[in-house]
Amino acid sequence: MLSMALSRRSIWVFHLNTGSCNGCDIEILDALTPVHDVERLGIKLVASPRHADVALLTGPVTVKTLPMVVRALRAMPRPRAVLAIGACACGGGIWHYSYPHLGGFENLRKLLDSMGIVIDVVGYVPGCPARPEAIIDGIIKLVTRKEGGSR
Amino acid sequence: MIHRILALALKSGVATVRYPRQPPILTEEFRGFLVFDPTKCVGCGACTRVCPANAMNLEIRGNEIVVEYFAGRCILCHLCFYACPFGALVATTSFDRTTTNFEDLFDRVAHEGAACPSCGSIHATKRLIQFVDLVLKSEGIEIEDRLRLCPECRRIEALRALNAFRIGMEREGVEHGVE
Amino acid sequence: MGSAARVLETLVSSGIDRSRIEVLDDRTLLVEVPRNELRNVVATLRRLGARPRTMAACDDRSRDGVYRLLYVYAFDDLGTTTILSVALDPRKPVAPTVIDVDPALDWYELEAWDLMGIEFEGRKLRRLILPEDWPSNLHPLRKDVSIEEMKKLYKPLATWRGLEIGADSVALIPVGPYHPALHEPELFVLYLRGEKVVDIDYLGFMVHRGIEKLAESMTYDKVPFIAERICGICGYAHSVAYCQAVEHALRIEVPDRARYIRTLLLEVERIHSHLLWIGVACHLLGFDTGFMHTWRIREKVMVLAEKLTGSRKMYGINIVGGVRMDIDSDKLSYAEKVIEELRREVPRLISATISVPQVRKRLSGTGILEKSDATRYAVVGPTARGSGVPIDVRKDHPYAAYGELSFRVPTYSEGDNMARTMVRVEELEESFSIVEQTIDALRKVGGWIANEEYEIVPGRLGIGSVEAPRGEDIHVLITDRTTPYRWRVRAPTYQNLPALRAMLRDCDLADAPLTIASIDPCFSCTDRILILDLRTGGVTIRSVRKVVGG
Ligand code: SF4
Ligand code: SF4
Ligand code: SF4
Repeated sequence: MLSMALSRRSIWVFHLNTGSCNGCDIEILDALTPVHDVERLGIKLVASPRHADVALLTGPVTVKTLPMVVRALRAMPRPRAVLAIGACACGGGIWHYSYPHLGGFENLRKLLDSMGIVIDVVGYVPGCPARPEAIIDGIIKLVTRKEGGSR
Repeated sequence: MIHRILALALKSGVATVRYPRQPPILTEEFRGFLVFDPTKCVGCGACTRVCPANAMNLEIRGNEIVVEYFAGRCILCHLCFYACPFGALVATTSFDRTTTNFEDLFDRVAHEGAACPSCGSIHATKRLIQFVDLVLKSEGIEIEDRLRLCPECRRIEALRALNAFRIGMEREGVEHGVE
Repeated sequence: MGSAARVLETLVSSGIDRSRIEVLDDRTLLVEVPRNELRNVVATLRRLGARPRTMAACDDRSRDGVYRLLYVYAFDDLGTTTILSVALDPRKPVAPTVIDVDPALDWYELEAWDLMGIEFEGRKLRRLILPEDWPSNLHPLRKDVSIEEMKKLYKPLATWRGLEIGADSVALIPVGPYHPALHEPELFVLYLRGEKVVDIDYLGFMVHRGIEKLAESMTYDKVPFIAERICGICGYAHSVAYCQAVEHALRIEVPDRARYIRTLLLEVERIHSHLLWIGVACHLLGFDTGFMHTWRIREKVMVLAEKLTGSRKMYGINIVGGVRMDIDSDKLSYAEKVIEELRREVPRLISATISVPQVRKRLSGTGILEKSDATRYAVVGPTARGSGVPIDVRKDHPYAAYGELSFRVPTYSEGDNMARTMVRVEELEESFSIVEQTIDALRKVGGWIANEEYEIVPGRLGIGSVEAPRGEDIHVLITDRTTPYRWRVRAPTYQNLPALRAMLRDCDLADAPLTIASIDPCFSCTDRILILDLRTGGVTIRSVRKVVGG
């Protein structure tokens, strides 16, 4: 099933850092470099959200990054998929009690809903940092859902 | 330049681990997600006090006490694993909690709450109180009713007792040393 | 022993009242400075060759009724730290600015204003860290401001802001490539004349997560976990620095074995971080093959870290007083094996990347930071050592087990990108040797791995400093009964970024991204460069790829 979903077309991902500590970001990079090499699964990192199928979102969404995050997600074509990577993005992580951020993607999603920006599928990859293997799993799960749901 | 790179590439060979077709590079030391065993948890709350990320939560909902493990916030430090006196949290090397359903990130157990005999508020789980009873009985200690009160009532009770004691002392005309 | 006494003598002979100086221990002095003498004392210290390490603003109103500024200076050659303590009016805290006598303190003053509401006379103040629409009289680090209150006051604003931005009212924000290699959302503004850079501005602090405030509500043993998450690349250095600050404040003796374990892990972290940087530099030069090979090798270090600690990046094994997990002999042998492999692989990698003539050419002579500028901005780490300033906390203020190990501090005097690169490359070699020495030591040194019998005394001051891969991390901590009273973190990038001004002046635009990356900014996304053309007044946003022409 996995290979079917993936072979249909390649998945372009876009990396969106919303104030993370870099831990998860370097793990995303790790997934792209030779040892994990996600490009073999057709997963390709692109530089613009306009080209992306999936946004890899890390960090607890700090208020200062919020405008960029909103714009980037809005620029993505439908169906939009977001993969919330790391404890920060899933549930605010160790920061969740603090003040200058939204505390993870769930709250951002509520905000986006109120602005009429629909996120079609969301995947969650917990862990601090999330392992590269878990990130690969996450993308595969997300894509399987996305393909299944939209066709 | 090219020859050096080619030499480097040839020497290093294939580095890629073809996960998920091949098993991941995972050492047995990896601190992975916890497996929460609701049958063992008594709702003592020890884990919630050590958790730096507040991923373990204990919440009173109506007359139930809910213990909740939120994997989505867990930073994999395993402090709760060392803190849980009942072995209800098992440390694993699993990293697989990825999901597309937010609710999947929660493990919960709802314990029946024990009401305070005086004010009726829920302050501990029945299981915990039963467990304490059991331990104390095995030591041959009978529990005084005072100990079944909730912390607030216990405080009031203690103050009342202290007051009664002091008034008694004053009546007898005894001077107390501490002002 | 005795170095504090020597500094004391020097200070007294340059006119500082002896009765105001308190010797905290043989490496630390505390000087009580009246407000109106601050500028003089700072100027004196700078003249004597002291290096500013950090400045912490504290709300001491509940302790002794004042606001307080702690200026931390180091005499690196003597391994001594001098702390200036200035008390300010509790109702209206105003301090004289010192940035004309010590330009390195520019950001510190802005931050003290932003987070603590301390005014500085004689300079312009602006927001540095908090968002522009943050309520103007709400200063997060003040003790009478609670997190709940801030959430109430600010969260609705955030929602409102998001909605407004949804209405497209902000135009200047580039829809952005977040760079695959440099991954933090930061924004630099480069002012250009033709292809030459005239000036640079940094619009950053996107990642402010309120760490210092948050720690004030956490018990001592939970803070190392949050300290580690300050940075996902050199986090362990932060957690060691925090623990050392508490240990210094409470005079806790750390067992030998724990000191060696910390040293081992710090060096493992340095290896991974320097490899990461070499990869990023290759990538920025458009040389992705080098990037991929570097990261392939780096992966071995990540697996090693997981084997030693249980986590690939967030080691999470520090506690106050030591470490919480031992490293057994199997793991040591494994580490030895990995280092052996790296010793073989890294030179091969360097010869195929950094030593390639084309790469050398791009690196040499660009982004020059003169020694005088390096001392003026008080830069730290490889950035300083590439400009001929031989400072290294591991040597100057030894901590963990570094005092007992032998290693070299590679220093270059050219000050260009190549020099900074070579410092890192040679440091890799040194790190391999340090790891091997600690492995040997751990085979011999037994005993406890943590000292958990300590007493918490409120009101004590402690300093913890660590040479992180990017330079000196320094934490200032004041204790309270169950939680830190004040915890001030200073990461190396904070000290190094302002020096970019000097490095980028008159440099070609094409070299700018690499130069920015050459200080190894812990946060950076140089892809988001906003280019302001001074001749036409036009604003364009170009990605690094376009700038580099790759
Ligand atoms: S989840 Fe952990 S590692 Fe990932 S960004 Fe957040 S704090 Fe860093
Ligand atoms: S592992 Fe750590 S973060 Fe996760 S639930 Fe346990 S104590 Fe909390
Ligand atoms: S410490 Fe163990 S028994 Fe107590 S609440 Fe937590 S999981 Fe349940």
